[in-house]
Amino acid sequence: MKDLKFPELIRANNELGVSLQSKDKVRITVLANITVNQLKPVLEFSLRSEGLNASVEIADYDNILQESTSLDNKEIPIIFWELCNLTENFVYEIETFSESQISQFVEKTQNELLLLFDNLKTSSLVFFNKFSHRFYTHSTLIPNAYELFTDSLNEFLQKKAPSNFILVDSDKIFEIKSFLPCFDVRNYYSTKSLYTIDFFKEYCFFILPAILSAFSRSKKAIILDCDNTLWKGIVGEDGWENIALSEKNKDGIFYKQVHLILKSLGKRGIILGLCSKNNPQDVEEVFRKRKDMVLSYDDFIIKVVNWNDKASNLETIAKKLNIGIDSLVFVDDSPFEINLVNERLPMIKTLKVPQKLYDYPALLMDNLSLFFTRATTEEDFQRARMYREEIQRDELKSNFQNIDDYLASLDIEVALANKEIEVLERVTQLTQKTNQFNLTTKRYLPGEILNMYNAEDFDVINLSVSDKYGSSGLTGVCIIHYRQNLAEIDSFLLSCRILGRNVENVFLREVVKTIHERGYNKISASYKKTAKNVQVEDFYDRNCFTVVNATDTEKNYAADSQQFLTEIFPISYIKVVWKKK
Amino acid sequence: MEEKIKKIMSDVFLVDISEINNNTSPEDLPQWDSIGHLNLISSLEEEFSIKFDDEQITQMLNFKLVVEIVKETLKQ
Repeated sequence: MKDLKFPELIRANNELGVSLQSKDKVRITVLANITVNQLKPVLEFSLRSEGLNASVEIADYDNILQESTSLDNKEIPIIFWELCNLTENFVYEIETFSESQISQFVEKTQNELLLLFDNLKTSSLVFFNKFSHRFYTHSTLIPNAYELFTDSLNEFLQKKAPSNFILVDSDKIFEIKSFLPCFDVRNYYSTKSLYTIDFFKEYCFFILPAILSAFSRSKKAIILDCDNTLWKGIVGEDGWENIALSEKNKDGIFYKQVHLILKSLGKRGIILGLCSKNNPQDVEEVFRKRKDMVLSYDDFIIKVVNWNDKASNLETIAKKLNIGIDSLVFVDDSPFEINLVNERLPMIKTLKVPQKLYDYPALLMDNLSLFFTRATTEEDFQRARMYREEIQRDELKSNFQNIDDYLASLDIEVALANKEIEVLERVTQLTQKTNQFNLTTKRYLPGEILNMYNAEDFDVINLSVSDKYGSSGLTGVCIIHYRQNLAEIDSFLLSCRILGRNVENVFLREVVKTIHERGYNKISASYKKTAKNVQVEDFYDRNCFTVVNATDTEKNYAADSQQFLTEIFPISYIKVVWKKK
Repeated sequence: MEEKIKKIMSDVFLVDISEINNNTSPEDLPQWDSIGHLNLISSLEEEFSIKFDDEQITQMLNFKLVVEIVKETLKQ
């Protein structure tokens, strides 16, 4: 985007808009007390370039509070609240104010901020630019009144902004661009347009990861080559003792820092993997014998070390991990391998180890936003362990003659709870992230789920699964909407990592039981086809629901709870526990 | 240069380049409103690495005037 000139960007944005028309709209509303209309094409273009059908609206000028009351919670608000425009000459006036006049302004602004927080409390995600005095104070040696005023309001923001607010540190953007090119005083005097196109481009680049993450576009795994990528040298030729991966060897420090970055990603639940053309024994030997290595062999959840081409191996990795291939990041030192992957699997983000090794840690640091997640839930921390357990289960499976014997040996326990407030964040996250085993793929925001928790006519049931190897955590959600004399299964979804154990059937049976216990017989349900949920297109059919009508993209079902419960038996080897009904 | 400016205006105002002639003014192009004008100024300044006076900006009332003012600024 940064190399496009502004007119080219406007044109390209318009064309992208047409080509994305059929996709779900991503709506963003900019609330501002200055003119920010030039942000519209820039932001739309940066989101549309990522395949999101973005539509950016600029709300009425200088009417932030009023406008914030009329947003629906599917819109993402971005707020430009510029203190310099609190009054026409505020920056200059404040230096003439008495203490008490200043406190009045502080108090007034704080009260308005509190109102804004309240108005936007059900939005899933709000961007609020932290206040900045930089433009007006870069040459003042001792903080002036405007600077102190700004700092105190920032402190207030930091303390009081609700958790759905991301406070965007505009000063960082000014630092990247150097701040003078970010502002246009001339336009500010004539049209109240303070910021330049260059600023807006940088701004969009800065907030993009958070928006992508809200639409489940963040990366989930980082897969690395070994020789000259995870360490310096070629293990098969140089030997495990001579490769560089810590301060013990020349240039090893750069690799050690890369390892530390990887370790921190692993801690956050990002999957680490190896994809290397090597002898597996050689690679294992490095991990076993090099005690100075920060990472252990087990930190890598998946290792594909063979002589096949890397594109095919990356496909295997995505399949084994049961994640979309577009959620992988691949790191390699070889231009050949990088190009091959770019050609064959363009949806994979590739990073090439830089020529100058001292740039290597910074390259990874600069790309950490690819893995942006806003709320890190307990499951995120546990994910690596869960993937590892899954691989153990796969190994055990081959020892059993039939699958039921195998499943029975696992001591599976399903725990269920209805409207459990402690896991609201995770429940929301699952509706946002689950693509494959998801019957209707309805995405919800925390506020919407909360409304359902509080509503009489909804049940929101969550499911956790554990077995003798460990717990898979909260991995299933069902939303039931009770209408007059009909219970509608609004959402039914499970994380893919627990499939293959009949848990989905037990879950559906428990859902129907719940409906029955609430006195409803008639059930309606539907399957809405997406690019990713084909595996569940006959889920209800297999569970004796009757098709009422069907099109290419949607199937609607009916069922009778009484009849269902007599036809579908519980599964004897899965224990069901209700924590909260 | 005239062609370059025509191209810029056609992109900024999302019209075909053939729709722009010497007399084309804000009245002819729905996208040439105050925000469109701001976009045009930013685009011209970026393309020619120039900076207009605030007065020049208000004088750019049709294509011909835009060209003249760009030329004038480039000379300075």
